[in-house]
Amino acid sequence: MFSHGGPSAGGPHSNRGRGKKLMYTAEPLLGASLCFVPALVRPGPCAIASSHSAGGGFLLEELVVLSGQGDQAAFANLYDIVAGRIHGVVLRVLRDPAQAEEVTQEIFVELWRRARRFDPARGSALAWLMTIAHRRAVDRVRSEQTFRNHRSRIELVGQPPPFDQVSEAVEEQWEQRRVREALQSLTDVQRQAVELAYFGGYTYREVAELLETPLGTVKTRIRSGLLRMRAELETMG
Amino acid sequence: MMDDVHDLAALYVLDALPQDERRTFEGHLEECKDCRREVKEMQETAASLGALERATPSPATREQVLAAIARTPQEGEPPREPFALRRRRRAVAWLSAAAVAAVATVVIAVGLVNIGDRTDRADAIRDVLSARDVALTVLEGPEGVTASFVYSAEQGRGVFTTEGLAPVAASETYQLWLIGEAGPSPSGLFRPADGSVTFLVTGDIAGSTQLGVTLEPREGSPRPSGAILLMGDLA
Repeated sequence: MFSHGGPSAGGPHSNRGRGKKLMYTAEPLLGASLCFVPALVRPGPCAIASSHSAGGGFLLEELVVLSGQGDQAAFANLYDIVAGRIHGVVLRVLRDPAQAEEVTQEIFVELWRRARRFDPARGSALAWLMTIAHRRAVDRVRSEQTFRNHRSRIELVGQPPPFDQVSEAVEEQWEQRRVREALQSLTDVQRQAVELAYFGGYTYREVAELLETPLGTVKTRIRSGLLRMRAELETMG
Repeated sequence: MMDDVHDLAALYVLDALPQDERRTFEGHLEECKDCRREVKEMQETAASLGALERATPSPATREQVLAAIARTPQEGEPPREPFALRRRRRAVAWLSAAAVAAVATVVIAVGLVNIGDRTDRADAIRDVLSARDVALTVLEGPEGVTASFVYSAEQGRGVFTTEGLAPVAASETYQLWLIGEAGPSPSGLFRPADGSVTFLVTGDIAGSTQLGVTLEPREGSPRPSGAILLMGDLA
């Protein structure tokens, strides 16, 4: 019933673009909240993912559901919103840019294939997307090397992410700052363990080897680190 | 040392379990509601870690993805009764309720606030969006019109947004209705200048099953008299 076709046609609703500019001047702390209607039609400056599980992420839910109904334009919209985030993680886990591009492609094709099964009751669309993406990236990196050159990876993983990648969009910066702050609330060893696991793509056993720390300790650090992050993010709202 | 399988959720979610342990845990998940819930919550946290990295894939990747999906079949069935997102068409049974015995005849734009004042708007919208029970419904309507309603039944408020509605003549208005057991209740009037509207609706959302929009005479109507333009289900 809705027209989701690619570029917006002219015709009786050609004033839509003007309406969009009037209505959706940036409200920094509201993220994508006001922008989901024009974003349904085509990606624009308001098409930014929010990591809020309640409320802020509904734009993605809508696009995933539409994609599940075969709506390719909605999926293109979805791509434009989350590709940066997904590829960012993939690149950090895989390291190799060419492989990362391949894996990102595969991830999106998988997201398309599985979109129909997405159940908003089971969690946010963002969680759904990132779970699939991260799993795929990790599976690839593990299949590529049975034992990787750990030392260089530790050094790289320990560094803060390069700022040339950071988007200028206020909302994205705000979200990044929020997550960084949450990460800062962890102890150093918790943060290190979580980062090695998530961004390094290591199993907890490999993390234990890398850090020369007992298995049980590593498991505890990862678990308590993630729990702490969750608590911080919930407090921040 | 006996590990407690219930402690593995975080590791599972970060994909930090080796393959065999991952499979074992997935088997456990099928039987353990607590762990399923913990996994679900942890997945939200893990997803936010992704915010720390951004890298733009090449334009070629985008092209290839879009080309690939055009020839990739989709699998599975949608979940039944997806929470907060309902796009089923409903028979418009509530119109016959309109023919039933009269209620109040005065039309009141109940709680309809055109969000012009920026402070009010930001606060109100933020409140709705951060409600525990926030839900979204996408309204069905004519080609070229998009409309959504983000609401909190607890708060009795929601943000209605629409774009693409044709402007109305001076003698007419669009009217919003919250439809419950007693039939449709007037829930506000709006006359979009440029086809796009965002406003806050307050009313008995918890007791309503649908939200509808009709075209009415300028002053509004106590009961819908015009064509139903947009309709959405409320959870």
